Amino acid sequence: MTYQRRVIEHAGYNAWISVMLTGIIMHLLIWMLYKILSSIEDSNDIVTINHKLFGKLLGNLINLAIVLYFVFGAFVKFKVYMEMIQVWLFPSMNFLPVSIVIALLVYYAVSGGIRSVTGISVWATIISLVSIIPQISLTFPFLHPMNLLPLLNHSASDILLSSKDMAFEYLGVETLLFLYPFVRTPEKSQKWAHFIMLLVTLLYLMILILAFMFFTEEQLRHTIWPTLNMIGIFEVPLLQRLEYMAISLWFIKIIAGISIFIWAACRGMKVAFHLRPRLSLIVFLTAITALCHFIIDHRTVERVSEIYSNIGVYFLYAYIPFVFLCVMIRKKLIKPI
Amino acid sequence: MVKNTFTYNAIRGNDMADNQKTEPRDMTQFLKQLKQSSDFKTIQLSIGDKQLSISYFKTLIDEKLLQSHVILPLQERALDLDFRQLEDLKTWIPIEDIEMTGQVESIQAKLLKGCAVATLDKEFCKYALIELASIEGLRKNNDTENEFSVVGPKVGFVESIDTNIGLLRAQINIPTLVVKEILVGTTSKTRVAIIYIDGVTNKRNVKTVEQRLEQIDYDVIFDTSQLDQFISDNSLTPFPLFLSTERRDRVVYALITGQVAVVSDGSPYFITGPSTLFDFFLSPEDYYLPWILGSFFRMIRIFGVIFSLFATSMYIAITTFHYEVIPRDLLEPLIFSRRNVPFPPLLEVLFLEITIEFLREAGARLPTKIGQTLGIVGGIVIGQATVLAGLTSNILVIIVAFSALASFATPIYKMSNAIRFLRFPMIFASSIWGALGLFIGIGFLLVHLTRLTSLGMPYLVPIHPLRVRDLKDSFIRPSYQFTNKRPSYLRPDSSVKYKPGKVKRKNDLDRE
Repeated sequence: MTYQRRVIEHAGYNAWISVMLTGIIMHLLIWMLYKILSSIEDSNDIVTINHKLFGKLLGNLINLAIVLYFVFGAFVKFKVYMEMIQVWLFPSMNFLPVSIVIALLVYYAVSGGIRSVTGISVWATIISLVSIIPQISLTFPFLHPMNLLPLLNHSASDILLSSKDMAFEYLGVETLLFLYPFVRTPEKSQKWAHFIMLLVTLLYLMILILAFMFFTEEQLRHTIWPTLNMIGIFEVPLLQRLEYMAISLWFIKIIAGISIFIWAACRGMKVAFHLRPRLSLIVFLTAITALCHFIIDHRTVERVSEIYSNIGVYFLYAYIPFVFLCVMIRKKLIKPI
Repeated sequence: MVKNTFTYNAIRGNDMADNQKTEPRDMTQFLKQLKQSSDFKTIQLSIGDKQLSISYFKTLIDEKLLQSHVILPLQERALDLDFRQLEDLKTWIPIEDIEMTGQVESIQAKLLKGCAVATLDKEFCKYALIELASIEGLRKNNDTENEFSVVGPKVGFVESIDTNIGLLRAQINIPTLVVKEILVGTTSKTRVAIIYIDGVTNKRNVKTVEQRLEQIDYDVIFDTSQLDQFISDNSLTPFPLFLSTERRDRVVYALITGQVAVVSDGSPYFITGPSTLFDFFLSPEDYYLPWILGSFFRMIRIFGVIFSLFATSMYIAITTFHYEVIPRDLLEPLIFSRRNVPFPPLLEVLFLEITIEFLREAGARLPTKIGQTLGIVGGIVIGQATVLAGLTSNILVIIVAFSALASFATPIYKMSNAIRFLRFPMIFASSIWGALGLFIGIGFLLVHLTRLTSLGMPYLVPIHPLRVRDLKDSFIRPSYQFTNKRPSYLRPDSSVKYKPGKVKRKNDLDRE
């Protein structure tokens, strides 16, 4: 929802190239993830792979870091959404009750196991696919295609920097590290994973280009939630200011994201430290709700989400290739014996 | 799983004493017990040199049958000396179902189901059970009363299990239609039939149903819908996990797609399972109309459900929190209609919704003729009067009436009840946090739906888990050419229903 502004910070209106670039890198990462997860026998999630590669102690340290990273991700998602509600819907609301109710919902979803988590994600996917159609058709009269020109006026390094910012939007693929053992036919699923990645990239690209054609560059630099501003312009019979509805609809997607992250974290705790998932679930959710209650001002939230995005980028661009290399080397070493 | 049965099992301990009282060990004690009732009769007949006594419950048997088929042939041969033993009755009496037994339990069971017990005075411990059960008290007409359709058959079920199974057999004319009967209910000893097609229905589903039915410990089974609750996977849900229907075509359709049907004696309703959420929005009529129309009406129905679930809560969310959403042109009539209303939208909506619920409940309990009058009085007079009195706004009356109307569009009554109920949590959620609250409610609803299972099968299939190939017969009703396979999520033993021939229609320009 907010990526348009961040992405153009460096590359300006050439950022669509960065989006495509990030999409391609993500494909590479998915391929790596599948390779990592499928190449070591009898260990197909990241916890056991870490144990095998780095030993019990160091491995567990990394696992803990990964688990915390997921919880952190869930928190950031949650908080960013809360901010959006605060700005757009209820400026003077006491957020504690809402966050408790949402935490309960997440608890209900995650305690249903992988099946209900993926179920809510299916709904989220359906919603985002369905909601894009009216969005495109309604923006159509307001577009200025000439905004896209000139096509290339930024250096390659700018575009690369933007694509690093873009990676934040793709965070979530790493949940595959835990999801993998639950996939019944991994070979088939890889095809789907690539397909979905392509679809997501196209979606991002489409929304970005819509925003480019809708706003001028200077406008876009100062808009925090360009998508919402865009939606706010639409008028359909019976309703106007559709952004109020859009934000609420967004809720389902947020819940799906949070649930998957929390589920992955609980799963990690279970495999690595043999903790009862229900217990860690309760602990994580209380922590998130409490943190949400105490972190209030926008600057902190922004900083926190920046930290998260940086960690995420390193996680994706450094840790996964590193593990990939380790796994490959290990494979080479073991094979001759 | 079957949470209910645990409690019944717990009660079972106390009932042991009662059970023993109703199950006597020897015949004399049993007869003594029976003679307390005034409808228990014993008649004596003398045939040759033997004395035959026949005992029965006057109220349970067909007395005409007794006279014409038992007493008459026996009296005609009253002087016959050939009658030596009880087994001879089999050749004398023109009734096929005569059983010889000495066991008290089976005598008791049969006697209470409408058999006459014949015994010779000198031969103890040997009894003939003559089947004479009367079928009086059952209604003759078997029109579908609650699940009406304009096109298509109107054959429904009645309260007799044998008639019902006969109706089914008349349409599924293959030997592989299997009917398994068990007795359920400690007091009623109701016959419950599990029906499936061998070679089509997955055996595991049949087994699950059978096991769960056998686990039931309950006194009287009044209706199949009770069984539905006992054997459902989750009792903490407003959603029906089995489809219950009184239409024959529905049950036949369920059986041929590979589901299991269960019916209990004395109930005109069948339950079929495992069912998915979509099954509740199918109407047999979809299949009798051309597929384009069928699909359109099905989509109307699904839209109706969504509308009736969320219309009033949306109204609350918008009028309480997000008035920016209302366009300027609409704002004026809305303000105008709400000008005299002294309540917040929540109270206004609750007032009207509860009125509608009263009307529904009263309408359902009253005889048809009065019910209609009530509908007019309630709908028009009360609606108009409340608006004039300034208790609710015009627009809200329209919305509430619409959503009530839309909720009737669901073909299965149980589902429309669930939707009726679910409106209220949505109303409260949206009155607290507006659209966000509404979507929190939707979130809970979606998670709840994904967690539900029916006989172990996910309730939301084919949406989740996604089965693209089975999606075709969910939102739309495709042409018969494409519905020749059974849905894969039922895991049927054979998946092909029929083989459609290739249709070659030349859409030609003057036949080219």
